[in-house]
Amino acid sequence: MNWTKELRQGNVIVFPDGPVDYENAEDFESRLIPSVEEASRSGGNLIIDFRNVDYMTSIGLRALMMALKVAEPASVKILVAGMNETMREIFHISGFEKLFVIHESLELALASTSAT
Amino acid sequence: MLVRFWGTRGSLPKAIRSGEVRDKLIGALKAANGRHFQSDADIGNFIDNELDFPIRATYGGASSCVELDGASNEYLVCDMGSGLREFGLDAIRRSREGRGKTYNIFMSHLHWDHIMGFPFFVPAFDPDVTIRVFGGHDTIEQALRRQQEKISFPVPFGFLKARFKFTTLVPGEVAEVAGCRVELIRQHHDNDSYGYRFSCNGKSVVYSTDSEHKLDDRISIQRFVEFFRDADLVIMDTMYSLADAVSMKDDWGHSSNVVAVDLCHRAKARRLAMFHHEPIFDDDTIRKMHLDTIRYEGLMRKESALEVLCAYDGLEVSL
Repeated sequence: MNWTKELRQGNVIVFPDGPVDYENAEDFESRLIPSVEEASRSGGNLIIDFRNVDYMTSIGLRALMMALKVAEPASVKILVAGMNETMREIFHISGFEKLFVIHESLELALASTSAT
Repeated sequence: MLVRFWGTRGSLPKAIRSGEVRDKLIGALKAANGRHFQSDADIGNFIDNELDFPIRATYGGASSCVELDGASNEYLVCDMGSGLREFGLDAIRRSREGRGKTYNIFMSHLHWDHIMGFPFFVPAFDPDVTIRVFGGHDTIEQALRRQQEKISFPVPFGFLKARFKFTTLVPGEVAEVAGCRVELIRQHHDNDSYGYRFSCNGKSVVYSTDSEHKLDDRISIQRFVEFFRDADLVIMDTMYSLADAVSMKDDWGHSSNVVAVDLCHRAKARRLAMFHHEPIFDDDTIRKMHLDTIRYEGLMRKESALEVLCAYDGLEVSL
């Protein structure tokens, strides 16, 4: 999958591109976990901007859970931002909205990190 | 073929509480809004057509027991949860009306909620009855005998009058039982569980409960996709949300509604029956989970629709 990354205010921001399903979930996870580790090294948080992700199936959600399991002991927060309505529903139905801090936009996510 | 759900609750039977009945009555009377009904039939129509499921009914509380009816004169049942008692009483009635007295029972596994109905299975006391029990575990007879030892139950297994036969099945092999071709698959659950695929009269039903799916195990996921392939009905453990299944309840041996839909979509199954409901869930919670699952199916659908049912004690699905 296409994937871009930025560093801002000490935070690692990633922009996955395209749906995350059975076909590309391994690729998604293989990029996500190192991003958590990079955020840990830089002392910041990981922000996942989902503006270019149409939808995600269970296997993609599991990859997010794996990232969370790496992030928590490393004291890295994972914030998600920019989800479309479908992604918001998927997070709601799967219960993942209770596991992640969700922001409307990248800007709001960044603002939340600077506020803390 | 008719699939009858005699027990749909997971882990522990659940009785509806009087407060819940009261809440349902309040909901029904509010919906009626002072309406006058001409007859009992009018009231029945109102209940059936205008009240939402959690108001007019309940998902029920017996533990796992599902019957497949229509392939032969013999009975075919999955699991011996507390729903087996009601099934047994109904089967006695049917046998009095001419049905045979041979029972074929397929066991997912031997945890208590899946065997607890057996001591109350009245046909087992009939000397004219034959009970064949099938499963992937070679300890089924031991589990049933142990359950009826004196320390736990007053009637020992040896007192039963029916003829018993226990058969251990092997994944990858095919059995022909009661007019059905039967295959099984080993599932991830404490001490293993087994799922079954029954192909009868041109229809296929998968019974897959107490099965956790490790989504990173692509070989296992593909095995289940193939096992579910083109099934007319998949009865599947949807006990938890995905978030719970992969976090605090990881390795508890159960699955989620979201994984069930994803597997059925990939397998191109036609219907999914949500099954093995969490016993702490009330009817409103299960109904919400059902509606969420229908919505998720719609969001994820790429090809033909998967019909999402939510099993309840008393549901009959015609295939």
